[in-house]
Amino acid sequence: MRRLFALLCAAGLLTLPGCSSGRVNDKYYLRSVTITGNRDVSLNMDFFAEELRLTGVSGSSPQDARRHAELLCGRDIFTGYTELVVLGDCDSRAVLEAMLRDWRVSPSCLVVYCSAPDELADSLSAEELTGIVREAVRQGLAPECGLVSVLSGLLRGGAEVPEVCAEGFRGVKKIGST
Amino acid sequence: MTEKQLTRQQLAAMLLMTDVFALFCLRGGLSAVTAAAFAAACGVQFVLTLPLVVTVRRGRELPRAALWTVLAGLVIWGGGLFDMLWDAAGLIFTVPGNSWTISGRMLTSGLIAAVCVYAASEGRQALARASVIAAALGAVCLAVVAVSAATGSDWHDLTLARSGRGFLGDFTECFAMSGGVSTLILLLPGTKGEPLAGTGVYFAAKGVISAVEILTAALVTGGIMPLVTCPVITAAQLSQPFPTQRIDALFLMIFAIFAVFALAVQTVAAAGALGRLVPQFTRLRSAAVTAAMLGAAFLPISREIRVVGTAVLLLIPLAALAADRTGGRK
Amino acid sequence: MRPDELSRIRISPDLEHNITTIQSIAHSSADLLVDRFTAGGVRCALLCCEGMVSTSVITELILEPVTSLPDIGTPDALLRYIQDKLLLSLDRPEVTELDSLFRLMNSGFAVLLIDGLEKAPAFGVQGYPTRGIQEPSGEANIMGAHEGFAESLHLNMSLVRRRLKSPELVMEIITKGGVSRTDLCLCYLQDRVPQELLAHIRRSLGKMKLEAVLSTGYVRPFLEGKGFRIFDSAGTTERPDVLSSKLIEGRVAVLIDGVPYAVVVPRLFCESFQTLDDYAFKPYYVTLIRWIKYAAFLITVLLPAVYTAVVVYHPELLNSTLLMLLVEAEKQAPLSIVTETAGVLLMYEIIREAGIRLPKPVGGAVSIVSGLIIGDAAVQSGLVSTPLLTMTALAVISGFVVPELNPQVTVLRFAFLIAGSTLGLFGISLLACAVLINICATEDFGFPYTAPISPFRLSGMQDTAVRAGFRKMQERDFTVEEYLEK
Repeated sequence: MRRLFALLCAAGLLTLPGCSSGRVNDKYYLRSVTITGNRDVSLNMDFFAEELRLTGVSGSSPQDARRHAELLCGRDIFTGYTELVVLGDCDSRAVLEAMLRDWRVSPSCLVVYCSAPDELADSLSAEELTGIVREAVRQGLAPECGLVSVLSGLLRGGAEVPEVCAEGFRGVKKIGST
Repeated sequence: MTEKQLTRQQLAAMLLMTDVFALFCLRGGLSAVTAAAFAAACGVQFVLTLPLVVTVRRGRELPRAALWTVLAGLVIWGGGLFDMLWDAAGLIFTVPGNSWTISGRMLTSGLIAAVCVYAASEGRQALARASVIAAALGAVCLAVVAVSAATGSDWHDLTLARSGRGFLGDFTECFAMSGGVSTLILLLPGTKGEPLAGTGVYFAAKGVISAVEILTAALVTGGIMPLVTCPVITAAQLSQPFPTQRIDALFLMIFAIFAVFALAVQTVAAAGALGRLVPQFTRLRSAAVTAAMLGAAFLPISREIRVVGTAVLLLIPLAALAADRTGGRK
Repeated sequence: MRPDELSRIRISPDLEHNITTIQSIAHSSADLLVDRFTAGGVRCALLCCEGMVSTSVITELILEPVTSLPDIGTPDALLRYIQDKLLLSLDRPEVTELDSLFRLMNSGFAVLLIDGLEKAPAFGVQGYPTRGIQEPSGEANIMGAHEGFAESLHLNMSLVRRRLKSPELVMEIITKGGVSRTDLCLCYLQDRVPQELLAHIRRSLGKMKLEAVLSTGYVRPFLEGKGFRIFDSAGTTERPDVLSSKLIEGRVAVLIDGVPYAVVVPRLFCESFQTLDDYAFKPYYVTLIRWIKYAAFLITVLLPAVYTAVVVYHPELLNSTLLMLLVEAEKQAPLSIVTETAGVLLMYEIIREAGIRLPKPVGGAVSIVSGLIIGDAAVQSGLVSTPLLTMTALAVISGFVVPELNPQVTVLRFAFLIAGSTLGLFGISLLACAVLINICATEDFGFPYTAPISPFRLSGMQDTAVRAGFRKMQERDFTVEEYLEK
């Protein structure tokens, strides 16, 4: 009886999805994302090891925008490796909350502010920007700006994050203050 | 054939895995006050189990009515664990791609139930031996998660954490999460050595582990506690021993293992009790008990009922002792 | 004719009747030699199996002394003379019925039928060719002896006896197999073996009703617990020194005639990671090697599955640099990672099996072909990616560290791969729980397979978690009865 039960479980398992898919290069791996917009969000996305860059992908929420992005590029987008989130003019708390809950972004993901995110995309790559921010934090010019730290600050009324621009590090900006 | 006795370590491991799993699934805010309240509640529970210790020392068996009550409590608690598993499955991302959907949760619960039935069918002794190994490995993994979470956190966040229930609320919450006492009532008589030492070791370990887990969760998620559904799970998911290395998937494995053992322990204890109460029921007891627990998961058992239920279960041995004494005087 | 039927046929006083009956039962088999002669004035016949006896020994020690006897007179007197005055061999049983006669003849004895007597003396004059003592092939050793068991039961018994010169060492011979009549030897130290264990083993062997016993695989199922168990709770060894150490710990061994392995009961899981060399090197080195072996076991079983699960379902566990490396490597691969991994593992198993079964002259070709096909052509053509091949090779090589668990490791590797590929780390965890429960349920006559880890015995950690020095271990006076669960 036990063996029959085990065999049935094994047979059932084999029919589950996973066997047919399971290719590591069937996804795009998000490296950095820029978010603007209050009612509808607009995303600019940079990926690892790809020449692909998506700009101006919009949706009613970050998750919705992500689905549109996946439709545009024809593959799933894996967001667990996101290294940098650049916030523009948007509801920072709602955006970061969605990223933590739905996108499962790493807690060490850096959060920065930029007043003109579209100019940023043309001048600095994701890798350069991430390096600039890390160096600024290391030198004490900017506060710790991990996702969880920033979200924690936003829940208390406002959080200080590094501000970046097309030329690089600009200073510190308080976001989310009422 | 007489069943072999459990050792103290085996009993403690089996019970602690259930308690730790319940902590994983704990909803609502956590704080340092919660940790203190849980530790205090464990102490009070230990005191309330002293009549059980006396009963076991005297070699008395619980009357059938009490045994049925304990069995019912066990099935309901098992149902509660399945319910917690259902809720937590969506957060843990167990089944790739769709763990938060109904089908994903059903698959998670179903698979765990299947492994649980197999585990229980191998007998109490096998489960007890495996519990020690799994608990030891789980403790090491949890320590890694806790240390990596704590070293990367700001200790100021601990002061920000709020549970919203107050000390008394947290105290009763511990009772609500302690349905495993019914397992203790059933397994303690079959444990070697001094029963007081056995229960003492168990409750001491429970108090310490609960406090450490809660403090770690409060430390990591203190700043974002209002946003978090299951703080312990979220704290584990936010663990990063190195800046470029996450280990939340390690927690997924710990969660799955603790879920299996937590439910298997209830199943094995309940199947054993069912065997004593209905000796004619010889086959498929584990499957029957698991099915009953799955059914009990749909019962609308509120937190208050669980608190009262745990207290009642703890008082059953006292009532049995009192009845014994009254009967003796007559 | 069955043994019980043969045992009812007694030797008759009529010599010719005996010879006719025996030849009829043996269907006039060509290797049955019947040598008629007169000894001491009495007609006799010497029966033996050609090829089983030493011709020179028979001629010098039996035929010459017996045929040169003076006239004794009566058959009884002849038998008495032979038994008391002529030491024709050390092993001289007496035969009264045909079952024993055939069993002894087929074991290399020569039987002397004497006309007029209802019993016949037999002489142990074995001279069949056997493989000599050689280095064990499966249990390699650096510092210890290089002797292994051979196919001869009595030779194996002597190998053990030479190492345990204690009068407490008992060797009981029992015969099993309705057709093969194979001799089994139960070995144990009387003052150390738990008597319940011995009684259990005797009862279990008593239930054996097989027609033949040709390898350890015929005996082991009767010495293991019932129910489906992944791992064997009755172990085997090819080494007399290892067997001796097990006997000192109070275990029971079963030697089988014709098989160069001994079955040892009970066996513990942790013993798979112990070798005799562990007791020849320094404790700190051995402790390190032990933990490497434990890690190697986990690697060999879990690495392909974990690799597949992480890459497909949990890539966030890898750091970004490593993941991009894998993405780049997998770009050309036409198959999914799961299929690649399963294919490579399957290919390895085919090559391994072919390497064992191939005739030796062709064996070298296997390594060349497998190396070229898998190591070079498959990677260069892009069928298989290099990181995956590296992972699989690492898993396979790790399996060589614990060769006696190879059957279980092979099956578990595939099982975990299926679980990991369908359900990711969650599936691996569930299967690991099930396997752990199965291992913990394994016990042999009350000895838990997972002792001394669970049930935990701190004293047992001296030779499990670490290898304590002999000065410390000698104080322990360990026998396996410590682990018996009551």
